[in-house]
Amino acid sequence: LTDMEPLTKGRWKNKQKVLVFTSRGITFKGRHLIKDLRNLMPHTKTDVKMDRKSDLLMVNEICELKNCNKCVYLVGKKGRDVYMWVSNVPHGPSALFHVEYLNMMEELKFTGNCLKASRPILSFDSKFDETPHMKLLKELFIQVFGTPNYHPKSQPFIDHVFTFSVMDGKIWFRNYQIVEETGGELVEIGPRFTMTLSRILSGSFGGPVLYCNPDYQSPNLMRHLHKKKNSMKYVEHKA
Amino acid sequence: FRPITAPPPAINNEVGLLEKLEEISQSDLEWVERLDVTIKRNKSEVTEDDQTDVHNDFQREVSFYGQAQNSVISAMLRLHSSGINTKRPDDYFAEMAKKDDHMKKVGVKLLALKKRRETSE
Repeated sequence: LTDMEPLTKGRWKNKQKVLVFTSRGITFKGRHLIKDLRNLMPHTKTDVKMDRKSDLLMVNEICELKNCNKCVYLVGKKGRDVYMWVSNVPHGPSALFHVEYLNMMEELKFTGNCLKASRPILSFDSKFDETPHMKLLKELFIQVFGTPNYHPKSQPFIDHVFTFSVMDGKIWFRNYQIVEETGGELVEIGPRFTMTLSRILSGSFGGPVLYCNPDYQSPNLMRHLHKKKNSMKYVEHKA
Repeated sequence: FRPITAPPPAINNEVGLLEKLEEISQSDLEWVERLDVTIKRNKSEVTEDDQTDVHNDFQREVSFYGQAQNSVISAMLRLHSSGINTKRPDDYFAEMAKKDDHMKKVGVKLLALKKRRETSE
């Protein structure tokens, strides 16, 4: 009896369950992103696509039904734009991002590989500690993207690293395999994407706005400005 | 009514943000439950000036790689010093994130690339 190991060793304490799902009308890229995230995060669940026209607050109810306390919800608009909500259900905060520059794990240019359910190290740029809104995002990302210790579906090894860097007003996501531990030799696994913060809400999918990114341009506006810039070409050329 | 090109009203409720951070922070959990590392991203060695060019794919990726590398080194030191095993034993088999046939395709592509490089020399 004296040989029995203490019960607290191996107890699953950090109970994060993440619902990862999309709206209808998502592009194939968004769908593959969901697949990759599900593949890399053993603590996630998914649900059927949600109708985009229904109330966003419905997502909270779906999370509750699925027993999840975190949510990653991808919204596809106009058949090309991908937005991502990351939320702490039910009390918030939640953040809306515009997702760009997607490269999938399926692509052959990434040569790394890792266990399906191993835990990642989460690496953050020091820029995440500079402003209150970035600090909040860091905390949210740690809780959403980190696989909890001793999660029943996880493997007790650490062989990959999720990297979040801030550059050019965007958050860049990378995923590397750890080949050599002490030397830190890495090989990229994928996926890649960037997230541009639009706003942070105090509640989950609702409530007062805590932060609104002044540098954020919606893809519609970007296209509008681009078109407008090019529209004067002929007139200027004639004159 | 606001014209489409007008910037949205900038909101930055710092007090509210910090309150929310306090509300969701997991200060009672040990580091090993979360595995987060925050590291200063150095300007990459390949750049001459101190600004990494976002539009230069190579410079950008080297900079991200450097960040990941430094985080791995510091995290592994911390894990190993607290006696946590991170490595998978060689005889431990489990499902991988990428399936074998996918990795085979990657291998074939790499081989083809190597071959092409050799023949062009």
